[in-house]
Amino acid sequence: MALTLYFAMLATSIAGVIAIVAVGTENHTLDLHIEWMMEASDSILVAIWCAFTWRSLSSGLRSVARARWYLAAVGFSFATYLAATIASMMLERISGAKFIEMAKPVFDAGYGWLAVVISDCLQPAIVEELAFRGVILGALGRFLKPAEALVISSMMFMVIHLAPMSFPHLLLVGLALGLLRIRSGSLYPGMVLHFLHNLYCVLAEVYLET
Amino acid sequence: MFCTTCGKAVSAGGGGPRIVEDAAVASTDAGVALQTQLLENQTRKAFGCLLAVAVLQFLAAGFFFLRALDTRNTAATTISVATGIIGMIFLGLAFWARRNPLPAAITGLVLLVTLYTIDAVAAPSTIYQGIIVKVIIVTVLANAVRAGVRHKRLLHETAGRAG
Repeated sequence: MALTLYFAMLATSIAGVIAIVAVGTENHTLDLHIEWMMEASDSILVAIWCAFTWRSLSSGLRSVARARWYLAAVGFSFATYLAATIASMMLERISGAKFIEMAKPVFDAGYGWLAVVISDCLQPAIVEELAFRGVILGALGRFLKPAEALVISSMMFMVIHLAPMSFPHLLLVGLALGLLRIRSGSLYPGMVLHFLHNLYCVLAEVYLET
Repeated sequence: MFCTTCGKAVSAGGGGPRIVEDAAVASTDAGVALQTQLLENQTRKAFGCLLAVAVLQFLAAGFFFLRALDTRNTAATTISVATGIIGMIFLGLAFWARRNPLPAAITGLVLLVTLYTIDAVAAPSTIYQGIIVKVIIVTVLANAVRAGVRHKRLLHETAGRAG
């Protein structure tokens, strides 16, 4: 079940890439809408899988976790953002390739901060956490040791983004998210970390690079 | 028919060994040991599979590198380096599979199917190149994962039975 969810999400990502390439590079608004359709498809896929695996998933959703795990999530988010910034600066210098902008295409298409926060921060935080730390980590944890399940689910999280330049920091973020899930017993601290990490990236893109 | 020792009824055609269904656990220790051994053997095939993928990737990397030397093409150099890195990853997975086949098989299967899918999308004309080898490798890895999961379940159930 877990691997099928991963491959279904991979198929959605690749379908989106094909659609964007087919449309061409001129119509950025259409590219953005295609991306949003991909996100909506992923959300539906994950919701369906969550319904099928509700029995094993519910413990992570019913457990609220102690306050210290939310504080840890906030602390981790600074560390993961810093690591992501350093990794991306180094890779940009080595390869010369520029990183994909998250917020700019949304603003260029005439949308505001609400659209940016929902599409770039909230949706990934909820859907990807349910998928990778909920369904996939939970399923792997039934047959593997916690450390093995953590590494494999983080690797899957890294690969599904289909952005080789971001692989180093995505793996790190995946490991931090998985560790929070295992130690806290809840999915919510990871959602907070994921949301904050993406929010810092968006804020830095808008305010630091202009 | 009746047992000559205890007098209880026995089944008429019960001469051969009892067939255990795919998902069932054998009821005797010997049966469990046999099932465990079969599943372990199937899971261990992941090592050979991952090693084969690593060797193929290294061969492809060598081929692209030689072409890059001939044509002085930087794109071909980049591809050869990327293919070499993938080969090293699979070599590492193969050595991991020697010690712990199930997680290595899962990782290898995920990476391999992802790579094949991206390859197919980026260069559709290459879909049928080596298709038989690709199908065999994916099938063996998928069977290794399936066998590994059943092996863990079997160990869990027999531990529960004993404990």
